[in-house]
Amino acid sequence: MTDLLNRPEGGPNDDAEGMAVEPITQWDLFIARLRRHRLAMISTIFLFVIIIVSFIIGPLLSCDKGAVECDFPQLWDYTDGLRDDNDRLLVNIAPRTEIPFGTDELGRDVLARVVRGGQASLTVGFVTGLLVASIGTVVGALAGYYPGIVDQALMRFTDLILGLPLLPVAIVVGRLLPELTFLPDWMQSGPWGIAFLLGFLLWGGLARIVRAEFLSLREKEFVEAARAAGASDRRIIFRHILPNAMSPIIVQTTLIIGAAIIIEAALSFLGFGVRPPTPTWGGMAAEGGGVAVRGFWWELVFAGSALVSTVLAVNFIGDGLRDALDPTQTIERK
Amino acid sequence: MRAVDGVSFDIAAGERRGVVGESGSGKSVTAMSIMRLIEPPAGEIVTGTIDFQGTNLLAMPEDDMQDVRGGKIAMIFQDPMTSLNPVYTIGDQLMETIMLHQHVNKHDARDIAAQALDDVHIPGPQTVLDDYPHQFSGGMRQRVMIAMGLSCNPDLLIADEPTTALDVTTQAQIMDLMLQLAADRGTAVMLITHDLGVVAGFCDTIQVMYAGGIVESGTAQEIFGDPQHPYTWGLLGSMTRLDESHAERLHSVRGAPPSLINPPRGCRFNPRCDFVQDICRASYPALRTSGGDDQLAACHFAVDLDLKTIDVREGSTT
Amino acid sequence: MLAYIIRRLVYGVVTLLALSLVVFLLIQASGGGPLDRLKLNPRMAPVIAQLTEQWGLDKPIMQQYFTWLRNFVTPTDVASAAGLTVIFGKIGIQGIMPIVTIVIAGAYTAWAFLAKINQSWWRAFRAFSIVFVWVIGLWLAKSRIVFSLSWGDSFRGDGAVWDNIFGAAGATFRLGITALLLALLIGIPLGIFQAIRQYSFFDQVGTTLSFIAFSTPIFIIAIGFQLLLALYLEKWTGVKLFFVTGMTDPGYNDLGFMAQIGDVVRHLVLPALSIALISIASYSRFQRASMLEVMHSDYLRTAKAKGLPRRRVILKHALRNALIPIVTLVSLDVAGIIGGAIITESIFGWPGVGRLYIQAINAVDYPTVMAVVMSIGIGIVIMNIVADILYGVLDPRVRYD
Repeated sequence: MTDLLNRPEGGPNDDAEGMAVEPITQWDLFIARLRRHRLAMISTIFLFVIIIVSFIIGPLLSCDKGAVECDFPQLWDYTDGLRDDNDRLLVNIAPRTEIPFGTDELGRDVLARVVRGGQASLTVGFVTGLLVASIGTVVGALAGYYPGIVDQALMRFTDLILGLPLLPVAIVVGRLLPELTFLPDWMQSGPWGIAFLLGFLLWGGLARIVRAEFLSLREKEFVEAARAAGASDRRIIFRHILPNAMSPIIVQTTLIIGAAIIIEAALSFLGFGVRPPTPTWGGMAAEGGGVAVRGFWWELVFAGSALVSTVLAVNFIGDGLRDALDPTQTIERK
Repeated sequence: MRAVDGVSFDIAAGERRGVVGESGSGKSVTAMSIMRLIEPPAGEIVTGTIDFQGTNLLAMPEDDMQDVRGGKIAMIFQDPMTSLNPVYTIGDQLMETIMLHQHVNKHDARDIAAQALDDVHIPGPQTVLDDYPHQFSGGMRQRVMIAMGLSCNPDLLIADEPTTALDVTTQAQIMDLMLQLAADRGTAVMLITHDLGVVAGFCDTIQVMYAGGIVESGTAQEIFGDPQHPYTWGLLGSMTRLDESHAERLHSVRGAPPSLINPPRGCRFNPRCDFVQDICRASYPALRTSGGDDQLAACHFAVDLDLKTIDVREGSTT
Repeated sequence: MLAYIIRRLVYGVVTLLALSLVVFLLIQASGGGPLDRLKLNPRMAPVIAQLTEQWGLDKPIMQQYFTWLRNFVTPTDVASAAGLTVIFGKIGIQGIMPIVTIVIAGAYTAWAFLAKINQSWWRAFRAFSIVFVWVIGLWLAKSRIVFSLSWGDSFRGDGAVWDNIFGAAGATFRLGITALLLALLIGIPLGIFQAIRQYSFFDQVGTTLSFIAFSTPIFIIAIGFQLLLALYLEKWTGVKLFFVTGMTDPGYNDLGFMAQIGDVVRHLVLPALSIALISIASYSRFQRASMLEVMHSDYLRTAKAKGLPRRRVILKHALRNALIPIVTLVSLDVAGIIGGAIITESIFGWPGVGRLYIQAINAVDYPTVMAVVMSIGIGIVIMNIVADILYGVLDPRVRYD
């Protein structure tokens, strides 16, 4: 990371020769600015906890007891409803001590599903983010570095992707995804298919940003110098330009992660997102919305809060990173 | 941090004052303070008085201050490319000032604006009034700024590095034009610059600023003929002179201006001074008369040192 | 400028072609074709035969696509082919109205563009007035225009796709325009005040709220409004302020004029506000940033140094510059508002294009799905071009080439 942040603009003390001042590196500045952004720090810790709960604690504690791989003494069953002593389903039970989040319309423990549901939502967010970052960076870098035909072709393609109406297309693809038999199974249902879909729809904005960065950085003296020293295009792109274009990529990717989680929730609400029985926060909130009209508010509130607070945390981190990675900001400001 | 601290000076009616110093020395902040254009959170005038024609500007209600700004004190800024609002025509922006301060109707304001453009030698002023700033070069825009500044016949014109952003050939023209117009109107000029050459040619009196304070002031003759402060001496040494042979190397003041967040103890120039003594590190020298009659300098050794006799090129100190 | 618009139109058409091809192929690729579901019902046999004939469903896929494409741009009959055919049967003021309005709108547009105008506010007004005149003109003319393209019949057996979409479009426009207006009228002033009082309590609260709005899926906002502002409000206070289903009451036609307006508003507020909330958040954030940038600009310092009152500095010099980038944001947001409408219409039982789209998608009614996707795509392309032109009008520095 230190390397990434060594911007050509340099630190504020570059020309302070002869002065007895402790040098401040970009990395120090980055950390200092991030620390000052208290919300971003809290959000980072919060997101970390959510990730651990969703990916480690959730799968350890809960499982589909009907399924084969459930050979571990898990506490919760997230697919079957809870039953009372007379084997009747405990449907729409309000939160109480032993069922802190209540049960849903099928008698399933909402807490178990909220803990488990984060996995799908976060997978969609992170995989989409990763896809967007890689496609957007590669397309933007190539377009920005090779002017002329490559740039023209790639940018027309990017414009085309950006011109697609996002939600209508996502809805139709989401609806058809399980029926597209030529796709592998793991794409047809579950979070990965949705993540790929969103990844391919959302990279356009980042590609434009990266291209703009490359266009300006390509003309900078240090790139000229590298070129004069005989560095290959590959080396110039990856070693000299890309590290300097990292901060908008990181910030944009963070924002995409939040957006992807929200779009997946919207698709789940319409029934075209990650399909049951896999629980997702969006799907649960949608189910909860249906029963909330009858006064059973808990599934909507708990699943909704989990979703909103996680996306909020991601967005706060994005905001913090934007401030912290901005090399023109010095420590004195504000 | 204190951007400007303990600065005190007078400008007489019709006087041409040059304010010289490196960037960050507090020249612009001083000028902005006179106009009361420093607003929180950017900064704040903590204490002091600005006496203008018998009134303390700092105690003035905001409404009255608005009459002073643009009407009695006008200001021209460094970068003409960004100092005019891009979405309004030049006429719009000129007439706005004129209507505000001279209480004339739109039609008369247009005539005055056209006259003002004519005064700064812009051809075809009537058509120019309907053009947008982006249609003009930097030099032309600075002329518009000067026209705008002088259109209401102010008593004081503050010009903050008015030619720095222009190319060398237009610099002299603009400077000449500005000072000529100011002289015709009897307007006092406070010319802020880092270029001693400009000051030498155009100003009656000079004050040298360093790290938020005045280190030396006096008439142009005194400052150039017998500089008292080592910093002034250094600045003069760094001037390019066409009338001297190139046998002598150009001098530069070594080091960089100090951070104002954590200024050096004692004399603020001491880390860069070639004549530094213990007292310089211990106490801050007050501005006191030394050299000529109107000359003031803030140096412990201003009277004792005859700077011209010491050869600092070898790096030797006393 | 004309060349620029034409180039943009060409790009727009290419995008739309790509969009149609992708959606078309996806529908074809899923589960063996669009008619499979109909085949389950034996009574549908003649319908299937007819549809197969109409869409060439027994032909190779690319040929089917071109059949669809040709139909998509072909008018239904001769009268329609003549263009915006006006029914002259009932000549009189009614029959001539559409022609008159369109001629007036056209003349106004031509005059406004040819006149040499240098007053900047007038330039802005001109841009908006042209759009306004056209909207009003087309709206007045719409009931008299008979024009349709052969978008085929719905697979769900509820008539012609063209009629369905244009029947529902009015509802979606009502919702979308209201949401857009709400977002502009609330979001932009909010951002301006936040910028003027930067770091104040108001600013901090506004920033936090907009972050929360950004992070909430629209369906949760809509359901939340339904629960809090309609259901629980009525339960707890007995006040029935808003309705949560449909556009109007069943007994709407029997109401008086003022009561009708009240009824429409009470149905409209919640869905429109649900859509608008995220836009409000994004406009206010953007306006705040753009305003702050302008407030630190050199020309604003000049304006202050000229002695202009603070109000004038902000309202005249800062606002005008800070509003320019918003135009782009709003045009990009149109897609977001349409997306919001799709979800909100389903929640509020709003009989618009969004709900039609969801119903069609559930049934894989491909003529309707294709037609809705294309209509939305066309709408977005046009909006983006309008925004670009508006931008050029607002910012004298922009030249198209």
